[in-house]
Formats: sequence, structure tokens, C-alpha cells
Amino acid sequence: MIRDAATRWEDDGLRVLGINFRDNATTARAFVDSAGLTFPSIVDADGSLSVEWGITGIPQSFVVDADGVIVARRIGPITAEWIDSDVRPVVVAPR
Amino acid sequence: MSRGRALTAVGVCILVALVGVIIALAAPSAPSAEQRARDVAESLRCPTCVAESVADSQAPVAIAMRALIDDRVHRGDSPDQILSWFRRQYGEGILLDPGASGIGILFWVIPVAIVIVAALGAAGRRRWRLATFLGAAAAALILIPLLTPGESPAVVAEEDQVDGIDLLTSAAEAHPGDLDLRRGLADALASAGRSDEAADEYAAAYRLDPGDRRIALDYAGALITSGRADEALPVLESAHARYPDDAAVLLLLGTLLDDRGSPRGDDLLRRYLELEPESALRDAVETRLVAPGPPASSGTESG
Repeated sequence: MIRDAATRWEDDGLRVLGINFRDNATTARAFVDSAGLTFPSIVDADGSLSVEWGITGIPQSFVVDADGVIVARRIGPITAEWIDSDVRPVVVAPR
Repeated sequence: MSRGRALTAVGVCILVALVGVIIALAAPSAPSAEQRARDVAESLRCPTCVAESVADSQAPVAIAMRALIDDRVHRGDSPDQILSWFRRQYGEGILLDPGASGIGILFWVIPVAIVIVAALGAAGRRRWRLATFLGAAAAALILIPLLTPGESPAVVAEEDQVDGIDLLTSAAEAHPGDLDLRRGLADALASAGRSDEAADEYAAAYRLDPGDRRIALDYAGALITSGRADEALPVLESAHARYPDDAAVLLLLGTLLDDRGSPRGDDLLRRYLELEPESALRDAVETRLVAPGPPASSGTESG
């Protein structure tokens, strides 16, 4: 779902970055391959980067606007409704 | 300076130095880096656990937080600096014992304010049955902070409350993704009786963390007290799906559905009674259960 959104709104400026929480490069790469993820992912081996983002659970998603401000977050799996209500308005300017 | 005065000055200096040495020797030695890290971890709430500190939890997030604390301690950060950092990243709720001052005061004032808002809702809208139930649900929430030892609810003067709302509004606008600021602003608005605005702010907090039971309840409560009960239904339905045996959710959702003549409302209220057999609202709930259904239009009000 997030992969589709990344592709659909790439021209609008949406960039998706995955953070693999407390994982190593080998298993993270295996996960990325098996899930067919096309956006870049990084490994957060000790989890400190995720804590700096203020994570409160796994999985968790953050929406960051063009000013670098976290404007929405979601704990748990991403849904189409959440993408529509919280991601789309940030990416696609009202016409 | 005469020789006598010079000797006196030297003597005073020696005396001061001796006192300093004695104090230094008598003072307890500074805690080790490990102890400082442990103290900080014990002050923080594990965000994925129930009532467990970061120090005691084996949750992955807590382990990562401990690693970060160790790193910061070894880099020379003081415990206060580290705790401040966590407050900034996670909000006041990350502290196991939020202070009864500053924004932390909201954690003590808010539950009391919810009850007051519920009471105002009862008086203002004449929907007394619903408001009574809402107040009862809020009263359940109140028990958590009141039962926490060492602190007591504080009272905020009205002018401070207004200033606090202005401050929180500015802060929330500057940090729109900060969950605790949104929640704090919503709570402050609710306690000021500005339920409609509170509901909008709770909506923003709810979008940031729809899984938070407390936010869902507060959001629904603000919607109900501002006359938008229909909008509260999906919020409570979602909370019920996530927490099917939560008594407060059962009570509010059951009451709303019962108000609309839905038999499912009775089911939820019966479940509430099963879970809370000693509830002070038992008689009221049972009366509601045996009473004939309300008129189809929920806009009908009695004096």
C-alpha cells in the first residue's frame, strides 16, 4: 500500500523511507526483497534512531511535511483510509 | 594592609579551604555512570508496556531507549538533560511521575476537568442521563492519577487557564505533529468549557494516535458534550473494536446506541455491568435497561 502511494505521488514530492528497527543488514535486506519494497530503507541496529523519532510501537509510520515537521503518525499497519486522510493532504496540494 | 589584617585574611582563607575539604570528604560520592543511566531509565515509562519503566522492561523499544540513555550518559549529558530530551521527543507522558507543574499539571487537572465539563453538559443540555453517564466514565478515568501516591490534583486559576490555552495553541501550531501538545490543548479547552474547540483538537490528537484509548474517550466525550454525539459513535465503535472489554467505552457506546433505540446498546450496557458489578451506576444502568426505548428523535429533550 505504501509502495503504491510512493509510486503514485512521487512526482508530487512524496518520498518514503523505511527504518528497520533493531535489525541487521542481512535480515533487513531479506525483508525488503521479500516485500518487494522499492523505496530506500536503512538499518537502525540499536534502535536509537527510532527512539529519536519517538516511536511507541512497531510498526509505526510518520508523515513529515515539506518543512520537516511531523504532522501525523500511525501506530500499526497502514490503511488506505489513513493514507487518504493523513498522507494525501500533505502531498497533494488542494486544487 | 597591616600585618595583623593580612594574617587574619590568610587565616580566614585557610579556614574556608578546610571547611571545603571537610564538606567534600563528607559528601557522598557521585553515582557511577551506570547508576545515573539506571536512575534515568527508572524515571521513564516504557511506551509499549503497561505501568513498566524503561529500566525494567524487556520490550524492544525500552531496550533501545536504554541504549540511547547509556550513550548519552557516557557522552556527559546530565540526567536532567536526558530526561528533558525524552520529554521533547515523547511528551510529558513519557515520565513515570509527571510533575504537578508546567504542562505536567495537565495530567492532574484534566480528569477533574472532564467531570466538570460533563456536569456542565448535563446542566446546559438537559440531556441529563447521557451526561451523567459521561461523567461516570470520566470519574473512572480520574481514579488513575488520584491513586498515584505523592501528588495531588492542583487547581488552576481562570486567568492562568486562559494563558495556558494561548500558550498551548501557539505551541501546537508550531509543532502540529506533537501528540502531547495537541492533547494538552484539547484538555485545556475542554476544562474551559470550550467543548466544540476541544473536540477539534482531540480530533487532531486522534489522527496522530487513533489507538490511544484515553484520546478516543476524551474525543468522544468532547463530541458528546458539544452536541455532536453522532460523530462520537464511530470513534467509540473504533475504540470498542480495539478494546472490547473496556468498561468506559462500553458505557458510553452502549448509552449512545441505547439512546438511538439500538438493541446493541443494551448488550453493551449488560456487558458493562458484568465487568463492573460494583459500579455506582449499576442502578441507573439497570433502570435504563428495563425502561422502554427512547423516542426515535434524540433531539427530544425534557425539562
